[in-house]
Amino acid sequence: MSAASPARPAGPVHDGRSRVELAKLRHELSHDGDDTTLDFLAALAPNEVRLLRERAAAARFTRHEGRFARLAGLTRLLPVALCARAAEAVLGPLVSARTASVMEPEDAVRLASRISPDFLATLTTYLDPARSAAIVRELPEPLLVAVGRRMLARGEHLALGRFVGVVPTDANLAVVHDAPGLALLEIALYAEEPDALDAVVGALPDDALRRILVDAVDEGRADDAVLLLGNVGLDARARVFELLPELAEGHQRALVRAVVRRGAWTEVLPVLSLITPAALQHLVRVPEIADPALLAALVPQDGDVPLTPAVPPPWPAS
Amino acid sequence: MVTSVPPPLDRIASRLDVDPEEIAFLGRFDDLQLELLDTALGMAQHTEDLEVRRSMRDAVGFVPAVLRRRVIATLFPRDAPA
Repeated sequence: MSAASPARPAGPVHDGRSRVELAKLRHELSHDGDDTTLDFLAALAPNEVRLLRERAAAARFTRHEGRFARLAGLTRLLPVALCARAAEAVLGPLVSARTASVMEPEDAVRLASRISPDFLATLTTYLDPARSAAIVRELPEPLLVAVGRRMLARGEHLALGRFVGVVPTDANLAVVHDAPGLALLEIALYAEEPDALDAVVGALPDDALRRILVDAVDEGRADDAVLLLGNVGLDARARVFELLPELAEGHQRALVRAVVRRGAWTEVLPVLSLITPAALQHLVRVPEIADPALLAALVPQDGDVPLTPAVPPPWPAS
Repeated sequence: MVTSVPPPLDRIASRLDVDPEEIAFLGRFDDLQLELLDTALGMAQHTEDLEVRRSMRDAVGFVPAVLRRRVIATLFPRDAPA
């Protein structure tokens, strides 16, 4: 058996993406984010972990699909209020989520309007975004926001992230607009639709982006902030580097150290031509970047080096 | 009679309902690690099996008696697995 798939790129950023996928696999299998039994799977490529998760989810769903369809059939037999009470009282969140996935969207929407947002928040953690997209898109925005805020309050960042691509951008923004930076970071890391994430991040105020960067460093998650750079488009990445000079020196240097440590140059270098000259000047004067050995490794060997490490750092020497 | 147990990779493939070739990338792990994955997948399926069966049974008991016969006919048709 081969030791590794040929398409597997190596590198710390890649490892970070595998960890994100592994967290989703754990959530799929046990809803227990603290379970370390399967940590060895982080050695796989992200797409390999993702394939495992998708196949596991599909196999579990297919196993009982007929039963879910029969349960869904009850909505045509029983009053909607009774179905809603049954969902909360006896079906439980897992079976209710699976059953919703096979319902006609209009039936599911009618039912959802009779179910408490608290229960919907729990149910959503079991819901497959792909199977439920047609339903979620038909739900009224106030309900989406009410459910999303409950999930945010419970720390269900992984499930919220998975729904970023399904929930309309305005509802996403209403849920997260005053969320703590770490919550924003985790939701963004777990997002599965880059375009939808880009739309949300693009609409976030600078203050929210700043919260992500500051909280990431304060909580020892600077590497995850760098990982996030790869999940968003060039414009969002450029905003991060425009904001960098506004952070405290310690935060700036911790973030740049994380970029260097993770070798995230394919995420960072394309942005340099998009940021203002002032932001670029500031960046190249951060000591971690202004390392001659690092610059020599990054800049083509043609002798024309535009970034000079000889410029002093932007803050007084301590 | 001794029955042979399939290798863990084959069991995982069976649980995932895929061809073993599709998950050949798991071959880099030893049997103990694959057993852990197989167990996690099996536990998840088992938990869901129990939950589905419990909820269907409880749904019958939840509805008013006057509707119960129709609910049973919907949830447990004669030609469907229990």
